[in-house]
Amino acid sequence: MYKLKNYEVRTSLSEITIEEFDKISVILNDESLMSIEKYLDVLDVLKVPSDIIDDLNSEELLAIIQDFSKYKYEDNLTQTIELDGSVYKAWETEPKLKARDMALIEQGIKERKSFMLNLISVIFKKEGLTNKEHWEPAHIKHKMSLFKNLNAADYYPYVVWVSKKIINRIETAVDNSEIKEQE
Amino acid sequence: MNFNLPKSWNDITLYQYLELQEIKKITYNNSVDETLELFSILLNTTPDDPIFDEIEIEEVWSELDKRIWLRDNIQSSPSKIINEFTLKNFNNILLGEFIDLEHYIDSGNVFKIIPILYKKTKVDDWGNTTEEPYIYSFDERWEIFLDVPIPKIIGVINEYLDWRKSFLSNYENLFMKEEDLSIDEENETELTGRARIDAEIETLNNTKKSKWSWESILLGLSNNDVTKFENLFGTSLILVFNTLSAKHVLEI
Repeated sequence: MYKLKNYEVRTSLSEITIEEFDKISVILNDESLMSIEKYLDVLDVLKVPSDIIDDLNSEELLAIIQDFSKYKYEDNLTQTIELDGSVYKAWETEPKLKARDMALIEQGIKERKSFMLNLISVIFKKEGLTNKEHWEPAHIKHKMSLFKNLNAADYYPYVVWVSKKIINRIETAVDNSEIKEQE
Repeated sequence: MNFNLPKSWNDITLYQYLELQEIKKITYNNSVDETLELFSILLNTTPDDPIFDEIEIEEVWSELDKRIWLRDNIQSSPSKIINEFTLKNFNNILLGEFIDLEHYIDSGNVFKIIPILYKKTKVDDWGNTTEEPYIYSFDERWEIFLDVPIPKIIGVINEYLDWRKSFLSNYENLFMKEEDLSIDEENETELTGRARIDAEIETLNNTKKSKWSWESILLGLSNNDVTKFENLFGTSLILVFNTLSAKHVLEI
């Protein structure tokens, strides 16, 4: 939280929702935007009133940006979500990323779906449903509407966890291609 | 999870190979689905098989990396004998067989020439090897060859296409113009495996002219008597083309 005049700007991951996190991620990765533009758009997503944004000076903006960077996440993969009387479980004895889950996560990336929201909606499965039901697009879409207001900090470790797997895979695939080319 | 996936091309059947060729034409929503489709072919199942429901992504990637040889060309030399079938001497191909061979090559089903090129044979009382007549059920024979490891087959395809190219070249005056024979030799020698097969077929199909057809050849040789077609089908291809060539040269 960064106090700006009489307004408290949410600058910590623990203060934003999954939906807001995804919107911010899209803005920060938008190469068509200048750095300052990006952060002004982020403040808009965080619902900072426009009169506050209009009065921002460069020192204040820099201080907010620095506050954003301070967040340290805990490397802890939450196992369950309890929502509206239903339990959604990500894993049984230890975290495992199923191939079919990865397929839907990769597809979501291609289709530019909200990354964290799609990822969490795929990984967390409602108890009592079959595998076929878990992977139904309509069911995943339903979970996305349920999970979008959850706290981003609680599920951010999943973003790191899956991203590391994807990066490792890309590196291995590149290595394999280079070995093949050398042959 | 133990998948027992194939370890080399020798473990891949013709049926699986054809399926693998098909998935190359498909655009998948994601790479994991493509890999599971590939595994399902290698395991003779379907991508929605529950055996894939619990598998971890790292295991899928690991198994895929062990099968990097799937990107290799298949090293093969033609198998003269497959099961109880013997590879035919191409110079003994009959006109009827050649018409069917051309049909499958032209229609992009080059592997379907295999049941025509392999025959059951027997040795007669005088020690001569004779082959079965070309009247067997093609579909039943095709089913048998679908289970044969691809390295035993793909070399025969290449060998036949080489022979065919040479054969058509020998009789080019019957159905080709000189300028149609501009095969891209340089490009062709760089290609190997299936790519070479496809290039050869494309080149020959592009160069073959429509000024001749089997119907016109058969009518010409039978003096327009369709009742003689069956006899012509059983005639040596080389004899037929030598006759046609002589008629062409003598303009008779």
